[in-house]
Amino acid sequence: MDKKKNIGGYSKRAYRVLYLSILVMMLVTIGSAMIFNNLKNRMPDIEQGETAEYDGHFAFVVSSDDEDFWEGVYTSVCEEAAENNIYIEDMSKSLGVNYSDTDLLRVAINSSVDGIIYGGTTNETAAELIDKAVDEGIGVVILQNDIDASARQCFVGVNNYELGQMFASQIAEIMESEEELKKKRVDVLIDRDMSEGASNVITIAIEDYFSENYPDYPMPEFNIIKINSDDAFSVEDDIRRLFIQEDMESDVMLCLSSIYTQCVYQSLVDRNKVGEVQVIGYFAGNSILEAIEKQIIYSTISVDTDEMGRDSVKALKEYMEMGYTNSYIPISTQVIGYDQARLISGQLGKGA
Amino acid sequence: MLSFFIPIFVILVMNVYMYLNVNSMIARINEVYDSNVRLSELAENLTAVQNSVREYLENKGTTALNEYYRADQEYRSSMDNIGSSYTGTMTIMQKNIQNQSSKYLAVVDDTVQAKRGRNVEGYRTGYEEAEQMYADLQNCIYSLNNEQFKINSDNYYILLSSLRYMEIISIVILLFIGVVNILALFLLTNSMTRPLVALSKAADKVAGGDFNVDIETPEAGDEIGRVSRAFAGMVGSIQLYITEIRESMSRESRMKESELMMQTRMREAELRSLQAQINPHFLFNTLNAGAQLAMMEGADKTTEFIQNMADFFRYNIKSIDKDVSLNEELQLVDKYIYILNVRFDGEIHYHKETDDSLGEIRIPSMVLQPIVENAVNYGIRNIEWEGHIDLKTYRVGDMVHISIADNGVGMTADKIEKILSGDGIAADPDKNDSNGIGLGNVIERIRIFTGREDVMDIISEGEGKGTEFIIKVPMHV
Repeated sequence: MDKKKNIGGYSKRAYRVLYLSILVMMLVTIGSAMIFNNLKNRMPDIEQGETAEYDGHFAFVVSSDDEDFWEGVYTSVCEEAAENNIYIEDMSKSLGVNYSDTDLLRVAINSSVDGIIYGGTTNETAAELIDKAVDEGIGVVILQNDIDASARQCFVGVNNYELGQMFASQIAEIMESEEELKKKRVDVLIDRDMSEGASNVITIAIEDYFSENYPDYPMPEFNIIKINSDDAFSVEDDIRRLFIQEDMESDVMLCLSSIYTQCVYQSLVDRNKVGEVQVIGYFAGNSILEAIEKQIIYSTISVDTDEMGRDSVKALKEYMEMGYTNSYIPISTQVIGYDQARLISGQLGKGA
Repeated sequence: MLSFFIPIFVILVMNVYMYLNVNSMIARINEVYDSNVRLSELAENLTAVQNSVREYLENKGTTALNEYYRADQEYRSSMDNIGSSYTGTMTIMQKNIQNQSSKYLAVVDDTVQAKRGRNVEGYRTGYEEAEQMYADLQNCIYSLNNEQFKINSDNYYILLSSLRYMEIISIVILLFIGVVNILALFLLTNSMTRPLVALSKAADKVAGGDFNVDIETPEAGDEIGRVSRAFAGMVGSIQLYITEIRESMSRESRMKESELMMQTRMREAELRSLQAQINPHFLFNTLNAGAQLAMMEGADKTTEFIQNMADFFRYNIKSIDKDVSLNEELQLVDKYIYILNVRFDGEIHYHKETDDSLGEIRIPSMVLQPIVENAVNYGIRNIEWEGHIDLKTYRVGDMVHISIADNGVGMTADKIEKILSGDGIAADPDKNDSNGIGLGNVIERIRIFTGREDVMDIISEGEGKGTEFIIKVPMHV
C-alpha cells in the first residue's frame, strides 16, 4: 500500500509540475501578446510624428544675414506661438533649397499661411509681395526695418528717432571722453533699401539731441553709407571696401544692424584700425559683447528680441481674430557700454 | 490527455497570433516609404502638367491640350493622397503644397485660357508666374520628401528592430512551449507505461504462483486504468477462491480425521468388548441353553435372569458400531440394572423418569450403560447408605438432556475435569464387573457423533454428595 501511495504521490507531483508549467506558459503567452500589442500601438505615434492640432499657421521669413539676432527673435516667436497653439514655420528651414527672403515670402503667400512675420529685405519686390499677401487676407508683421510703402498690418521694431537719440548720446559720450573737443565725422551704415526718410529721421534725431543737450559741441558731420544686403556676403564686401579706401575719414561708425556691427568689428581688427574709429553697434550678441569688453567696439544698442518676437505673434493673432491690430509696436532698447558688457558677461559666465 | 492538448492548443494560438502580427508588421514596413512614393508621383505629375502646358503654349496643338487636361486631372487626384491639416510639420508642409498646387493650377489654367484667347501678354506673364510657382512647388515637394524620408527611415529601423524583437520573443516562447510539451509527453507516456510495466510484473508474479501482489490502479479512468483494475479484481478473486478451496480441504481433512478417530474408538471399544468377553457368541448361546433348561425346570426367575443376560450380551455384540434409539439404550440400562440387582440382591434402587417423545432420537450405542456401570462401581458400591440411581430424559431447547444421577461417594472437581478432558480415565479392563468401555471412550464417541465439544456435564457437590452425569445431544444430528 505504501508503494501505491508513493506512486500515486509521484504521479500527482508530476501532474502538478505539468499544470504549473502550462500555467506559466499561458502567462508568458499572454504577456508576450501584451508586449506585441504595445509595440503595435506605439507604431502609429512614430509614424505620424507630431499630432497636435494647431489653431493657426504663421510663416517666419527673415534675412539670412543676421543669424544671431533672428535666432533670438525666432525663439521667442515660437514660445509665444506655442502658448497660443499656433504653428510657426521657419520658411528658410522647411525648404531644402537656398531661397532669398523675398522668394520665401512668395512661397509663404502661395502656401496660404494664416500670417507672415517678415524681417528681410525692404525693397520694392518685398513691398509688392506684402501687398499681395494682404490682398489675399494674410496678415503681415514686419520686424526691425519697416517697409513704409507696403500695406503691412504692423511694424514691430525700434523707433528710428529714439534710435538716433541713443546714438547721439553715445557720440556725445565719446566726444566728452576725449581731451580736445573736435568735430566728428559720423558714418551711418544703413541698408541700401532703407528709405531716405528713415535714414533722415536718425540723423535729425542726432542733431536734435546735440542742439538740445550739447549746444556748445560742434555738430557732427553725417555721412550716410548704404550697404547692399541683397546677396550673400555682399554686406561684408561693402564694409571691407570702406576700410580699404584711403580717404576713409570716419571718426564714429553707427551700425544699424547686428551684421554690420560684426563686419565693422572684424574689419577694424583686420585693418588694424582699432582705436582710430569708434563703433557704436546694434544688438548685444555674444561676439559684440566680447568686442565691447575688448574695447574694439565702444558700445551697442541692445534690442529686446524676446519682446519683438512675442509682440509680433500677438499682433498677428490679434489681426486674425479681430481683423485689425496696431500698426506700430515699439520695442525696448538699451545702451550697453563697457561696464554693462562686463556685467552681462559676468552674469552669463555665472549662469554657465 | 487534456494536459497534452493544452500546450498544443497554446502553440497553435501563439503561432497564429505571431503569424498575424509578423504579417501586419511586414505590411507596415512595406508601407513605410509609401508617402515618399506618393510624393514622387506628385512631383512627376506636376512635371507632366508643366511640360504639357509648355508644349501647348509652344504649338497650341490639340494633343498637347488633351495631354494637359489629362496631366491636370492626374495631378489633382494625386493631390488627394496628401493631407492638408494643421497637425504637425509634415502635414503643414503638405498643406502648403496643397495650397500652392491649387494656385498653380489656377494660374496654369488662366495661362492656357489666355493662349486660347490669343492673349499673348496674358499667357506670357502667366507662364512666367506658373514656371516660378512650379519651381517653388518642386522645391517644396522635394523638401517634404526629404523630411518624410528621414522620418520614414527612422520608422523603418524602429519597425525592423520591433520585428527582430518579436522574432526573438517568438523563438523563446516556441522553445519554452516545446520544452513544456516534451515534459508533458514524458509525463503522459510515463503515466501510461508505468502501470503497464507494473501490471506485467504483477502478471509474472501471479504466473509464478505468487498471488500476494500490489497492483497500481491509475486514477484516470482510461483503458489502462480499467485493465489494471480488472486484473487486480481477477487476482483478488483467484486469491479468494484459493482460500476457500484451502478451507474446504481443511474441513474435509478434519472430517476424515474425526471419522478415522471414531472408527479407531469403535475398534478400540469393540476390541475391549471382545477382550472382556472372549467369545460372546459362545456365551450368548450358552446363556440361551441355560434359559431353556431353567424354563424346563420351571425356574421362572432363573429363566428371566438368564434371558436378560442373553439380551444384554446380544446388544453388546450387535450395536457397538451403530447409532441406536434412546429407547434401545434405556432398555439396555434396564436389563443391566436387573442383572446387577440379581447379583447384588436388590441393592441398587433404580428410578427412571423419561420423556416418551424423545425415545426415537438417535445416539451412539453403548453410552448410557457404561455411565450407569460407572455410577454403580464408583458411586454407590461401597457406601453405607442406600444407593439410588436416577435416570431422566428431558428437552432443553433443541437439545435432549439425559441425566444419570447417583447418591454415591461423589467426585472432586479435579476428577471431573480429568474425565471431561479424557485424560486417562479409561475403563479398567481387568475389572471383572466392567464391560470394558470407559467414560473417556463414551464422551469421545458422543462428541464425534454430534460434532460438538460440549456433550456432557458432570455435577458433584463434593465427597458423599453423589454425582450427576448429563449427556447433551441435539434433537437432530
